[in-house]
Amino acid sequence: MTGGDGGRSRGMEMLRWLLRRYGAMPFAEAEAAVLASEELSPLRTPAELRVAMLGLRRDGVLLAARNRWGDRTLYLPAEELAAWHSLLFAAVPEPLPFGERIVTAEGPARCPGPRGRAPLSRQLLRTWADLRRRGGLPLTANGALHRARAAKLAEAMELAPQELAPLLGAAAADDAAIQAALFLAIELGSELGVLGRTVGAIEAGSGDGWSGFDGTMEELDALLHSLLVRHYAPGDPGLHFAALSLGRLEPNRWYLERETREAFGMTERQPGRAGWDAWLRAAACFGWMEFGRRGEEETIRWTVRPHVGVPGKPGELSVPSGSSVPGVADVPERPVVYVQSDLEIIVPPEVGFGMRWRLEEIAERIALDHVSTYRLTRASCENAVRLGLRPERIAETLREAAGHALPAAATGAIEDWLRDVRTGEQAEAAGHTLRRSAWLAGPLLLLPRPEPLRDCEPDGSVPSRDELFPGLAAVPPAWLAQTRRYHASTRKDMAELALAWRTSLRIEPDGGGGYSFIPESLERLGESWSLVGRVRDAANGDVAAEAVAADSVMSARGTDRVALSVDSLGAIRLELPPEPRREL
Amino acid sequence: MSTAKLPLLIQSDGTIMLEDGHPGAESARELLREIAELKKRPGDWHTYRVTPVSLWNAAAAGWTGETMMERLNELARYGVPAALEKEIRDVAGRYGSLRLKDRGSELELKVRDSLLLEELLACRGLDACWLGAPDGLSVGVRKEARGWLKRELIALGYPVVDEAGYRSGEALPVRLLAEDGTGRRIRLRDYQEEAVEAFASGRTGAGGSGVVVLPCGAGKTWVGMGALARLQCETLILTSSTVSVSQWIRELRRSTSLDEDAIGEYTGDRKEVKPVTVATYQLLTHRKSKGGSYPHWKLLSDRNWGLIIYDEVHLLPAPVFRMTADLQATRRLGLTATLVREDGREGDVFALIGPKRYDAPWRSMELMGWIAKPSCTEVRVPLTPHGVARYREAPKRQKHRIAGENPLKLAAVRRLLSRHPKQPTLIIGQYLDQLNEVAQGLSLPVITGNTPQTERQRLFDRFNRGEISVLAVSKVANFAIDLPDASIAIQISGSFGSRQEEAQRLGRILRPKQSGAGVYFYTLISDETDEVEFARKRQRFLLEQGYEYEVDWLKEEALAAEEAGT
Repeated sequence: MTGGDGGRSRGMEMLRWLLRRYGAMPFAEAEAAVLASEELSPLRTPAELRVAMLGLRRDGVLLAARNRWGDRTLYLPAEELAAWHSLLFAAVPEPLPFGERIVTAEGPARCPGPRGRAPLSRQLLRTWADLRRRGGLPLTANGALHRARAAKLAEAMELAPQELAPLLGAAAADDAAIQAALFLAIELGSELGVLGRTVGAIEAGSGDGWSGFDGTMEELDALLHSLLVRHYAPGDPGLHFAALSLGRLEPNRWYLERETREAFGMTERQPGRAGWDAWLRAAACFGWMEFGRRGEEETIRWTVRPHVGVPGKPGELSVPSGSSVPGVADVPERPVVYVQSDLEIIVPPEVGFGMRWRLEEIAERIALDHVSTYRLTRASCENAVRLGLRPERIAETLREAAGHALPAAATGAIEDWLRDVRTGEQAEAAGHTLRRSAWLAGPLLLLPRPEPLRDCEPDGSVPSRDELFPGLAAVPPAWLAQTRRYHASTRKDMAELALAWRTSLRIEPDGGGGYSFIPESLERLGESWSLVGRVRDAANGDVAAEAVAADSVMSARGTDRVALSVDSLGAIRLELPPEPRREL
Repeated sequence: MSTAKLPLLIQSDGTIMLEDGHPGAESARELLREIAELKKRPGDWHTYRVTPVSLWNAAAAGWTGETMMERLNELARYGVPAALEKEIRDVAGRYGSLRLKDRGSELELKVRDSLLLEELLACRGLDACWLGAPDGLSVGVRKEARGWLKRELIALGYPVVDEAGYRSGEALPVRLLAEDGTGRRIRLRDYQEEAVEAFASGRTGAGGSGVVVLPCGAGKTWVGMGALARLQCETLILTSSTVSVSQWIRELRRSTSLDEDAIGEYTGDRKEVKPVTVATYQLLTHRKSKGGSYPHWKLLSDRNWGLIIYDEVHLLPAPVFRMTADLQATRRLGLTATLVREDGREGDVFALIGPKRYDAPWRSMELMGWIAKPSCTEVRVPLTPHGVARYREAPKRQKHRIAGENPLKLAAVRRLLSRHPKQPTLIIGQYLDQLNEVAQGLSLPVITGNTPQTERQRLFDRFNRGEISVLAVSKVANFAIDLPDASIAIQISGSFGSRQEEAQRLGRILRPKQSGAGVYFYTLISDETDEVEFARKRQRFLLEQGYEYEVDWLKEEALAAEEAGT
């Protein structure tokens, strides 16, 4: 065997397996090699898989770290998983054709609500706006959230604690779980620059002069998807893999769920299957995924555009806009809101978050839907002034948002309502305007995030071949180079060495032919020894039944085990996988 | 066509917004007229709502969930949310799953699938309706339970297609005259004829009961008379007020071949039961004590009515539904400007009166001039300096009256009257003192609640003949008064924020004018007072109906000078 295409494909195969089996979680090399040979193919030797991993390490794909006791673990860097996923799982399933009859169904998520769940972006906007309307969320003397106020705010989130369990684990199941959704809202708000922490409270930024995230709600959902995948999914490799896989499907298109799973190699037997289902449920509860049925088959579709890459700074996420998909709008050049003469404001989906944040400040929300609606009222305008907005900015903001003059009924109403606002009140209100500069630096972390490499030190060393195969230097080179008839005791030594190194033996029986044999155990058989293992063809790893020696005690078909008498092995040689080449 | 150019925005809760100025708006409006209810139409975006009843109305007109979705998908800018799609398919799919048929001495309910039949039979509340055990996919139903069963089933989410037929009623030869007594030619407008046809035959051939929706001033009475002439049977007409009763009777006498003897009035004043009888809901539902019986219900069984017309069906009181449940073998025509009821009982209208048979395209009717489009102006009148001081010092509950009775409003009225000389004008006020002062100041006749009925009628007649061009009226004008030529209304004061009152007052001038003259609706508001906000609330309903308000500010000095000059 050479280290050419076989080694290359083995490296890729191993990487695919590692990605699916461990995601960004660390693992012990030996354990992974054994598991891989069992799950990937019993006709791969752990030695080959260890060499493949060695190649991945040399190429910088796989990194190593050592814990405080000096144990080495390997891992795939989380931020590179999405890229590897798209490279290694290039074949994305085809969506079902347009016009296919799909009946929408509740699916496995069973999220409450008669009309499905609102996308997370809307739940968050509502929660953040409520937080601002209430003048922030006070912190206790020891920095904890004010419990009663937090409970009130948590009502704006539709997410139930158990729905967050797949992502947050125990944090969503303990006593504080009732507020887990709020914690999530605060963390994400802080990350996007919408919320900030002062010494005594968590506060929301002002919409006037907004400089935070300013993408559309669709982009916000994409960004939230990527943040959740990055921060919380790595703790469960199956779920993480599902998030990466499903994130590659086209939005607003139906897919057969089974076909999708199979396309990414997630069979019923895969250990990550539970994580796959958990992510589907989570995505539905975040209001991002819908379920349906085509006949008896389950179908899934994204209602948002999932993003799995690494987001940049808030507002810098680049999500492709527009689509050729029927039902998804082309984005007009300048998104505008429509201010009606009955003082209702219609906000189409392409309007950015910044404008919505401003509208939340000056108008009463009627409905947060794909198209949102607000109403301008006396109370909302007065509240905006109380929050620090200059009265004239209300009409200006709406004019900017509408892109043209407002209906006379709207300007007249604003003038009437704010005519009596005294200068003193304005000045006082201005003092309440939030100063972002007053926010404390640093992330606001309330929920546990998986930290698999906590207390680990990077380990840049790459093991030598001697480390991979202990005692290699003392082994006679002929054992590795030439297939020979050896003395029975030597054959036994070589068999034991193959077992220790978890590698294969080349066996050429006296009657002719030859095959590669993967030993699994050496058993005493009376006065002799019997080598139990699997037979494979040396060239391609497949079983070559016709080449198996006649004294096989069991059928060599498929992956069945055979037992060979050590006395009658004929010529043998130890097979070690070749040195890995730089291949990726 | 790019999706960005599509005219509909569709929400998951069934709200649909239509961009009115969109090139494809007409086609979208046509669709929505069939499958949704118009909620409001202020400015550029009109709001509709898909409801179970609107979907069943559409299904009754031949639509399926599939055809609705197909059209919606063609017109939706951002697609149809999956939750709504599911609801449309589910709800529309239920129409036709239950059919009621005549089986001689009893009725038969045919059910589409056995599971549903099992479910219905398991409803203990329906036990009294059934006759015997089910036979395959049908079950016998007592004849007298026809209305009650339909009402109960729609409450469970299952509309019944009633194919049990109607009795003919007593025959009554009647036709629309070629011209009325004044020589005016009588002919139903196209849309009125279409409405009559849709009611009588139905688009799917199953007419005979249902609702015709026409905007205010579009001639619902004519549709009623057209149905009468078409069915040629004795008819009971139920309406919302005595004034409306008079209006019906006047039109029936003027425009049909019926003798005066054939038309009866059944009101508090007169109790005539004739081949065509017009009665009020109030009288029908009147009873001496809360738990007592309804003595006038016998009117429903006094004659062999072949048709019952329910005018203003959105105002139909709850007891009338109960009566109607027992009248399911009689043809029923509902007339209304809107199917939306404040009490949310649209399902009862569907089950007991029938599905929507016709909904007029109001936009094209406006374009054709069949309904008037008024010019609405809010006139801001300043308070006098003395008035400002009084207003500020007054307790909150008195402020509204001070603002309402602002004396400078008299000058404002004078100025408005000079803008429209000799135009038939109504001045409508809330406060009698103010109304009398205005009437006195401008030498106008005044009608209040205290004015005897004969005197009222005399003044109305003089106004209609053009002998009086301006009439001052109190809140009696909120309810149906028939002054078809009034083209200008000036409301000088009103109750706090009654949107209904604003609409009713505007309704006084909405009937299209033979002269083709425009109609104007002025509301006088004391500036910088609570009246401004109350007016805003009052106006919202009309803004939602597509009327635009302009605001006109009058200067105190100018008004004061005008008053001094007079």
